[in-house]
Amino acid sequence: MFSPYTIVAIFAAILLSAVSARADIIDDLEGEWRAVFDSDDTTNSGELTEASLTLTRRRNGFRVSWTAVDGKDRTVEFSKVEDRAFYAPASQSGILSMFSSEEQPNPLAGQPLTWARLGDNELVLYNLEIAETGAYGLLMNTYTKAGDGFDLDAKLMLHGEPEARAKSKLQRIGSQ
Amino acid sequence: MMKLCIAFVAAGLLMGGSCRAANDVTLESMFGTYVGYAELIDPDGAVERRETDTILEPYETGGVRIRWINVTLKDGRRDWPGVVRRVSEVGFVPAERGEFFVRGGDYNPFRTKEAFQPYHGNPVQWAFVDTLGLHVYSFVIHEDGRFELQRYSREPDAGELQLEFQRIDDGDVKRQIHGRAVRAVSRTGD
Repeated sequence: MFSPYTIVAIFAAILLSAVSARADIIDDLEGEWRAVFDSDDTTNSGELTEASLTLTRRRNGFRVSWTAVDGKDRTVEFSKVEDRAFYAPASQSGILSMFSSEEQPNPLAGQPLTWARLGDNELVLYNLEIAETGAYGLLMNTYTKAGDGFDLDAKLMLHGEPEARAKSKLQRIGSQ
Repeated sequence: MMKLCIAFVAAGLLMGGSCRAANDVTLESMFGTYVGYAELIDPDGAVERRETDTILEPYETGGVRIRWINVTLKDGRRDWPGVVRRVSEVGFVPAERGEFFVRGGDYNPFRTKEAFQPYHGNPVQWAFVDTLGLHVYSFVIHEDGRFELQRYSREPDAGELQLEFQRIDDGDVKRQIHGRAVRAVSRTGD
């Protein structure tokens, strides 16, 4: 059948394949980043002058702290959603079978609906909130690979208002 | 004006109120039957004209039912093969939180026996009245994580009803419909 050397080689190949599959945009973004905006970079975004991003890979996803156009920093630990090609906040209990139905947030009940999507060259973070008036606010930060760094395109969509937007380049301020 | 809105957001008063000019609109004042036209404007600039009937009426306790019929004209004509007629209806009831409405019937995410699962394709649908008119929203996260947000606003203006539909796909406006309608006398029989 197979010699011990062959079996070891097969296991090594499988292991290398798994490691290679993990290499994605999360690896590139891991670390601490900062973006500075001047008036030419922003539209309807108030006093926003800078944004930060801190990202750490986790076993089943990643943890990220990010600044949105509303000027707030949010920290979320994301895990893959079952049967879906995107990520949502891990459950408070930390149980891996997260996103069982009763745990999913309901924005109509005032709970922020947060999720993240990975593309070939981008990470997109989202946050939807619905106020008691019924008006909504949807934050969307897109981090797109550009050369050795990343471009940030941050938006805030509000009911009845022009889109607020800020664009800049991310500068790495910490090591991976 | 927008800076003020952003300041509200930063202060934690997210979407606490509209930053637009005020009118004197109530849901009850909008009940009625309206007939008019609407134009769909594609991103490539193509325009599609349609006739539209809209009925706003009371629904359950304190709610609103919206019924509408759209007739998409063919070569600008209603009496021409290829014309499309669509009939739609949706009812909203007051939400258990806030001043807005949620879908009635089997949908209501506050009352359904099935758990609400927005991460698994359940649409988030709601409506509200502000100083400009009635706004209906439908939001969904697709399997790949991209979102779709639809808004249909009906705003009274000088005796008419301004109609505006917008579909946003993952942050980009993909479809817009603008139109206007007037209140019609509704009769049954010949």
